[in-house]
Amino acid sequence: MQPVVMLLCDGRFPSGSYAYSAGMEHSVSWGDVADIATVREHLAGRLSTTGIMAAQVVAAASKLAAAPAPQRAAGLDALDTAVDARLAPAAARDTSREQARRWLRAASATWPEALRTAGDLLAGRHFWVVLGFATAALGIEPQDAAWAAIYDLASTPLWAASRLLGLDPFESAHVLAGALAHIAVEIHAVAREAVLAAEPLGNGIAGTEWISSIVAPLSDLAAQAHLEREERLFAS
Amino acid sequence: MSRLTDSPQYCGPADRDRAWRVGIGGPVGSGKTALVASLCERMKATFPIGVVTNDIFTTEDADTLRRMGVLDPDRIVAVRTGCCPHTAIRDDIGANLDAVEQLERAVGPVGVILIESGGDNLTATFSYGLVDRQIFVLDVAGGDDVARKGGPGVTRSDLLVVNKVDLAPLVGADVDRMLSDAKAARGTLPVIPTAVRHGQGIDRVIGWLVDERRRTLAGPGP
Ligand SMILES: Nc1nc2c(ncn2[C@@H]2O[C@H](COP(=O)(O)OP(=O)(O)O)[C@@H](O)[C@H]2O)c(=O)[nH]1
Ligand SMILES: [Mg+2]
Repeated sequence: MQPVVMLLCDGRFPSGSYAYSAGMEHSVSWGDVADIATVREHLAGRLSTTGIMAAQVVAAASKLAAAPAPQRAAGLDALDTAVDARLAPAAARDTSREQARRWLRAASATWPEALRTAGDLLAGRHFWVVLGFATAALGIEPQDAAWAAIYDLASTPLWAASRLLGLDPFESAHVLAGALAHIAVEIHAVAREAVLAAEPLGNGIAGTEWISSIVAPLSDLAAQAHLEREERLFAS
Repeated sequence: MSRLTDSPQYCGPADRDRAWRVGIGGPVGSGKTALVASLCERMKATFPIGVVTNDIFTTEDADTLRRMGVLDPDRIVAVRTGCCPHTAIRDDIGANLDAVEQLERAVGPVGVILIESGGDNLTATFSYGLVDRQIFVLDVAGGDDVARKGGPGVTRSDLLVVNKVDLAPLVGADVDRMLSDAKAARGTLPVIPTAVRHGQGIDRVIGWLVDERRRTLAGPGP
């Protein structure tokens, strides 16, 4: 594994992730998540639905980075539209673009040379599209990029729940490790398949229907309800 | 008033195409929002001002400032900090940089942006990637031994404000001792006692801000 992957997944990398709960704050207030057992279920549900879709989008965006310039822009547009269609509530889409902007600010300052040209192409796009494409410019393999997204997708709500519910942090870490291990084989497989499936995109042939559209609507609705609340700790 | 940098509308040379930014930190309740409101009221006629707040739980500070009518509502922006107000101003400043840029896009060139931290502990200070200068606000009612206890806010902030001196007799606080403790901890860095609620000491804070802004915008100089 390349050292840049470790930097990317470090919670102290200043990409703004500490402020997000990925709908967890609202799930806690609804009572859907109340203890470590329900946190475990929540993570398993998110990873096996939105997680698959995220891994596919990241791996495809990563693959696109190797395509000729005109096809790259068109392919990124297609992936961005695919994510739009799969994140139903406006709040989830806005958060994804906001997170992308903050991540790109941090990454561009960290690797200014490598990301100079990618910056313009990625402005205003969804987080997973940006993550996949930009990490390719850093020499990260599509599968590792997909894992960076999966790790973020799991750890963001987990640590938010840990803070909100006062969970035992050791138990939280144990649950996170278990959730990632459980989904590992599947993530490797879908990331590998996504790299192949994205090849036509790189050749200027549209088509993103192979991207999973099984998402976690309740989490996404929580994200929407969250934004409508007066009192909230997290940005999402 | 002959230098370009003395003009109230001046927002910096071409290589500095952003507002001058000042962080205002300190414990909960020490008077940060009151200070921001007072500075806005007195400075807005001469400096185009913007405010960014970092509330812990709500958008209370931003709402308070809007309600007080100290500035146009679109000059006040709130950031959410996910239980970590110190992270938002020190370790991971992207959300605050977003807010600052959003504000400048919305209202045009701004002379000074005041960034209020969500009240935190004595170790919470601003990153200089976010602010040009920082003020740390203590209050005498929070205990007159706080200045002696130190911490980076007390010892290294660019300006230490010791607020609510009007309350000293009521809470049995020794203001002179606080000021001398603070001076001992800070070397040559300035300390200003205030009673923001009664408008006391604000002129000295403004004097400091204007001097510091001129100094930054003029560059290192000969
Ligand atoms: N007596 C007195 N009260 C003050 C003074 N400055 C602020 N306050 C009050 O202290 C409380 C907390 O002030 P606020 O500005 O909200 O504190 P913040 O949490 O640091 O932003 C409010 O009720 C203010 O009216 C002061 O100089 N004297
Ligand atoms: Mg306040």
